Amino acid sequence: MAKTIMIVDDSASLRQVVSIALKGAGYEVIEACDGKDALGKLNANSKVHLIISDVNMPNMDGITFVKEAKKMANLKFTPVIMLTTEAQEAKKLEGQAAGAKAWVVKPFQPAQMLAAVAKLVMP
Amino acid sequence: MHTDTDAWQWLSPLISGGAGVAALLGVSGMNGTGVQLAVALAVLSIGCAWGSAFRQRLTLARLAQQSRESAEQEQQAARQAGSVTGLEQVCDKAAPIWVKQIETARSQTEEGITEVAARFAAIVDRLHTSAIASQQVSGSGEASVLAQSEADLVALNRSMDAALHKRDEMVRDVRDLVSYTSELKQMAAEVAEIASQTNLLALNAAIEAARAGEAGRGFAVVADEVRKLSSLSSDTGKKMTEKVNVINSAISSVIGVADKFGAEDTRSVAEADETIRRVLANFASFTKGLSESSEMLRRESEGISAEISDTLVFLQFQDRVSQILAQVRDNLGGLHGHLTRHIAERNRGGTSAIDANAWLNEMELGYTTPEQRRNHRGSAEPAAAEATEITFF
Repeated sequence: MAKTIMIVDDSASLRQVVSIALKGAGYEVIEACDGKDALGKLNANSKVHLIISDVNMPNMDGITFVKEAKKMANLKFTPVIMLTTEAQEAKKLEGQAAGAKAWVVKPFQPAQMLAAVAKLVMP
Repeated sequence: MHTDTDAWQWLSPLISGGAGVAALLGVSGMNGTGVQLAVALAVLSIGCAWGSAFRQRLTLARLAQQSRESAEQEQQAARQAGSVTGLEQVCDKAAPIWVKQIETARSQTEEGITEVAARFAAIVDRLHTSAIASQQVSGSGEASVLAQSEADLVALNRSMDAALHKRDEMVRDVRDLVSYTSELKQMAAEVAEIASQTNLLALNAAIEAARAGEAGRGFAVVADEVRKLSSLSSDTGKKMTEKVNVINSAISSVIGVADKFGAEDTRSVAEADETIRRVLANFASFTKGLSESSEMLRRESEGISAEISDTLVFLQFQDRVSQILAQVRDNLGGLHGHLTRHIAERNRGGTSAIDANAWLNEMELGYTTPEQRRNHRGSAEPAAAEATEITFF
């Protein structure tokens, strides 16, 4: 049974890049264009094995989205990777506080991203 | 600017010096010391006069310079006021246009790159599907299909071969019948011989009956009946011989035909066997080629897929460009808003100064990429890092 990964990013081209890499590695992918859209696509029965989220997005930023998602019982232990152009330590600490497990700075190499995904994805 | 007062300033030391020299010369009566003192006084008074004249020129030049500077400052202030007003107008009109231009460029790039990425994604998907399909075709085991076909065809040929053998056995049985028909022929000849003997016996009996006269009349009738029976037996013997001959010729003809077709059939089966092996060998070499080319196609499509995935990685630039342009757009828009408020405030007679440093600090807070911060600080662009920066918490 393929594992499901959610990718949240306002850049459609970036979602495609991540999506192709993940599908190529055998994952199923759910795409969302911002935090609000992502929360709309998740519910109490969602089985998501990992979330990859951008930080700077319109409507709802990534940090707020992760905090909200972590409030749902079924997503409480779902690992989160922040994928962003931000490389500032202060931002990283915000992400860590929100419950993220990794911080990946764009641009990324798909192989390295997949290695991080494989390391963190829920069994 | 030369007035009498100005002239007096450098003439007075000269006049007072000259008077001093004359007095000294008069008092001393032209002796050595008096002359020396008079010369010294004359030099001193000339020096004082020159110094006064020099100071006066300096003062005049300074005044002229100050007056020129103040005139230039007035002109510059007037020019600046004019140019600031012009600049304000340009910014007021142009800033919204710049905002739109930047947004157009940003959104067009985003749409274009998104479309390109989507097409690439579709190509990768299709390549993946075709690779799976070709793998299924080549992986479904053309070797096993070939082996199965060979087994089926060989079995078919074997059953044909078995049928041939059965027919051969039947022909052998028919051939055996010939020996029985010769016996039958012999038996028919024997029947004819018995008939002939019986006929001779009947003839003797008839003679003996005639010789006996009246007493042998009854016996003559029996002898005649026996002669008739012998005649019938002779006919039956002949008919039997004829029928046996017909049967013999029929059997010979069947055996002849069977022999002829038997040889042909044996050759056909042998040829079929050879044909089956040849066709299967051809098929095997064809499927091997097909399998190899399908494997090559699969490898190629995987390679192309990987190339496209790598290409897609470079499209990530759009995300960064979009963020940078969006920040410039928002900042320009903000500047325009600020300018509009500033002009309105000034028109009401108030003053509202723009705090450039506060503005720049706020601008820096809006940055999301390291290159924006580097550009802001004017530091050198470092080489792009090859490895992805990943931090695990």
